[in-house]
Amino acid sequence: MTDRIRRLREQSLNAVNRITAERALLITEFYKSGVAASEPVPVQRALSFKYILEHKYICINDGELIVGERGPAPKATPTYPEICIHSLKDLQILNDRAKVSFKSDEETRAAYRDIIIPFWKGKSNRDRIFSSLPQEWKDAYDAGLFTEFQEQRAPGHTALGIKMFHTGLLELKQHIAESMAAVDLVNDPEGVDKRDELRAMDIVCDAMISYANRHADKLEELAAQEQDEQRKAELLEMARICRKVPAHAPETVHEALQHYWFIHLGVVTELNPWDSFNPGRLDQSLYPLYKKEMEEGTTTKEKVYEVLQSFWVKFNNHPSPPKVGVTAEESNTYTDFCLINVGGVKEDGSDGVNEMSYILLDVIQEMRLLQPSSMIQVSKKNPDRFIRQAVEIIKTGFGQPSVFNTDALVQEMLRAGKDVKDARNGGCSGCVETGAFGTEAYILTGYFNLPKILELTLNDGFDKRTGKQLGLHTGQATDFKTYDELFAAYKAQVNHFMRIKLSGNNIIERIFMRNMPVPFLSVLIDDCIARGKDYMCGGARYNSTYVQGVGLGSITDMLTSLRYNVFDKQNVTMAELKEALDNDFKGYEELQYQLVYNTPKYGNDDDYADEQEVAVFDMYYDALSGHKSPRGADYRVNMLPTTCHVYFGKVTGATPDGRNAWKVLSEGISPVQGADTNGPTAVIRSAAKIDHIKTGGTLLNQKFTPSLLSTDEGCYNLVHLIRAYFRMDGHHIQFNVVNADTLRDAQKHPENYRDLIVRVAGYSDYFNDLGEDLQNEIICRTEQTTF
Amino acid sequence: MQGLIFDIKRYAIHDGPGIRTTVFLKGCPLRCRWCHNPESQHHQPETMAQKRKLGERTFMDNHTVGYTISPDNLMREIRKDYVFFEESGGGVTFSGGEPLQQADFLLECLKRCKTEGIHTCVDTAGAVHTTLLDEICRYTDIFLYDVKTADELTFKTYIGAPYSTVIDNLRRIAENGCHIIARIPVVPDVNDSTEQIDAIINLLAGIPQVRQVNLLPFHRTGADKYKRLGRNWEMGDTPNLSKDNLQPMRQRFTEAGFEVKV
Repeated sequence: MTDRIRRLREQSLNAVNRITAERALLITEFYKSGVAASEPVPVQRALSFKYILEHKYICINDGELIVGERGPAPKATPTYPEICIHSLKDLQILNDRAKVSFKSDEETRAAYRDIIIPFWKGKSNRDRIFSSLPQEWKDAYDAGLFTEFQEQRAPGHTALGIKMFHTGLLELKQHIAESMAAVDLVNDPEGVDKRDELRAMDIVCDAMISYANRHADKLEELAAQEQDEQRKAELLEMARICRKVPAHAPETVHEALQHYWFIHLGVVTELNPWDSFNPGRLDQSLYPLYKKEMEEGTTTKEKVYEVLQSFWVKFNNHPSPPKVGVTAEESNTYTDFCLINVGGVKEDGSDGVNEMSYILLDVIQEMRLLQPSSMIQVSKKNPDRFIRQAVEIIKTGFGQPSVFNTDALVQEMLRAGKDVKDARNGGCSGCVETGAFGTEAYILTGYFNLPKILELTLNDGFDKRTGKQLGLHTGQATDFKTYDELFAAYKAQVNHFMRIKLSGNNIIERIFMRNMPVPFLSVLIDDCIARGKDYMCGGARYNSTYVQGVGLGSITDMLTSLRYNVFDKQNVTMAELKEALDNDFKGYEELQYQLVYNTPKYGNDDDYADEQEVAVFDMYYDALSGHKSPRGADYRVNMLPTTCHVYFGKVTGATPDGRNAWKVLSEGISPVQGADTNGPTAVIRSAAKIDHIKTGGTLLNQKFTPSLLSTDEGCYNLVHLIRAYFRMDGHHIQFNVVNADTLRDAQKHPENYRDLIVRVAGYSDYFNDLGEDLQNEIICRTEQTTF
Repeated sequence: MQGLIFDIKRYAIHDGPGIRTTVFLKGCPLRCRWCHNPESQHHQPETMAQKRKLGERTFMDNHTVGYTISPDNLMREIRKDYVFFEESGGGVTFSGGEPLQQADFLLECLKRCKTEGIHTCVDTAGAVHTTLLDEICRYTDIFLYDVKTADELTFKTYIGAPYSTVIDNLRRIAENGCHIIARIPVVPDVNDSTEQIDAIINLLAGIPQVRQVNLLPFHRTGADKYKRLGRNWEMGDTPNLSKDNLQPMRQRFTEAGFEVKV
């Protein structure tokens, strides 16, 4: 690492996360002025985008090689009042909260109080959403049956395709013009909408090009003042690059990274999409440029490393936009889920691992930053050496890179009807979400609390916590004569809440389609230009919508316990068990012991328990499949929790697996913390019993003690473990390599562990930034150790 | 046919190459006082106390160690990790206790493993005479052979079985051409002296099938199990050995031409 990179990295790590009112003020000014009031919505949005880019402060940080900040400085984080207004109270909470705080000064708060809040009050998308949603949705939401992704942030959830690394915006403007010329205003009922959308697309391309030129201007200014000849030359070179990209296709690694970074800034300035944005298959995109430069002798490996590392720092400068309330609970982290993909296969299906893949692994290891997050794609065609190199980073214990099964991803996408080339060009973004990069809008809409629904099923649909009858009347628990009757009731309740969730989804999606088009994101994703249709409205070649199931391990153990203890072995009557649950096991500790320790559990390769896993998964799959959203997307299954298993646990009473009320649930498809006692191969076998190919992503966490990976042989055994899971079509696996003792000590002495990073679920985070519940949850995960 | 076992450990990565499933057969003629698996020694199921915490409360749960299993059912368990064996070059390891004490059962299981293409290891202390040994060798890829000492007196004092059986079996296995990994539990004041080590080196140097030596440092993790079985731990306060403690020993074996793992 060069001194420059060390400084930039330090600067990023030390920058304070704070709110900036810059963007909110600019967009307020724009809409207040009324200049675009008579324009159609997409054009209004495009002009507001242009206005922001024309007026926002151009920030160039000392010594950096890649330029452009979302706010006026690193970690100065904008808000998006057209989506969600942060109240003064929200700002106060964000400022004061112990974890994941965002500071705001008096001037910023005054801007919200006097200008931003008065203008947007009642007019934000969130206001629209909550005034349209039915009461049954709100009741279920309040009870914690599901969450909603789009109430504070916009849909996005996609990654840039490889193609866009070789395409300039001027070329896209040509495509826009061609598409515009083909619009049939006489016979096509959507002709007018297409014309408006294409106009908006053209405006945003120009806006982005002039934004890049503003950086070039500033860089030239700085160069004129610069005393250091070497830096002066750098600044002039950077200015040259900013005049070239993103207007024209990049031809060097440096140009390509700056090109992407402008595009990234455009996407995260236009709106606050979930999962920020993502360069996707970075090694595949950069390698041809790198190879050419090296062959021509126009760059050196050192230079390539340095510019990549400068690029890495940019991601870390951008915390996830501040969330509040339930949305903060389901995803309480600074991480904004940009997930860089390394490895996998090429478009023709051949081994995609190249020299750039190894360079990126080096960069990940050396930078050791939370953001960007990183993963390796592993195909049967990739060499073991590649995985082995990744294990070298994994064993250092910061949770990156996570490991994905390319061959499963491709199958998942083919099953969903994608072209094989598009599938192979795809990967995973966010935590574990499968998508065709550059051609798909795959949108996550919220978490679904599978264990809570069983709690309601055992109470005839009544929720004790909120005191409301939320579910169907499926009968009292004691009425169920057989396990099958109980399961049928559970299924009916799941379908009931899925109906409520999906109806809400469709209402919300319609609101985004009408009010929040994203012309800039749309020009980047095929085939929005060709169809003259916005990304929000189904313009992408492929459209998927996910509802993420949470607590597979918990619900499996809960159902297994009922089947085993109440029906099969008759260790306890339903009436007694109900009473124990109602008393949170107070006075029923012997029974609780039986439920926790002497009952089959998921994660042990025990078919008795795993039968429930498969049954619940299939039932969830059936509840969601076959539905279409307003933009024409297919609803699909995804099994990941972010931090929602903590929140869902907090709203769920005592459960038949012996879990006390309000305690955390299991995460992803991992077993209940501590329930898996037969080692990692048994966990993997259990996890592989569901059909991963039917999903758009599953998440499996494993915690290993560092001693397991202390030898070369130990590291190779991990490689083999990964290969074996992937032979069984497992989608994803990630590793925490840390001792529980270390984590306990870190809880006691956080000051000594400021740089301790752990894997949460689909992302890594500083241990100190996690809430105590989540810290405890990670400590309780089973530690796979040597025997 | 039934075997008596007390555990099946999956993802065993120290009992031979790759990722393995280790089957622990119950019953052993030896009573090594440093034994860290005392529950492996008796030839019948026995009760072991287990303390478990749930919230603030501690529960005592007596559970039975040892159960009989048929080769069919055992194969069903072994087969579960077949994919892991294939990927890692691993397989199954029969350990104990002393697996040669259930030679019929062992042989039957080994045969079945070989029929299914599963790599096999047998972890033995060799202190049992069996007429089936030659046949067992036919179905065993690697023997993990305990060489606790090469000094007959030490053997008599601490281990108590006929030393000649151990040596005869080692030679027989070697004559059968089997690959052998010598495993040496290094116990303070028992076999960690230079003389002891040199004697082992001398013994092994005469057996070309032994190329690899595993040094297993003494540890106290078994102490608690003795208490839970209602027995005495006779190693007193003997401290754990670390990998570093074994460095000189490792050096000597390496110099003598062995591949050493600690």
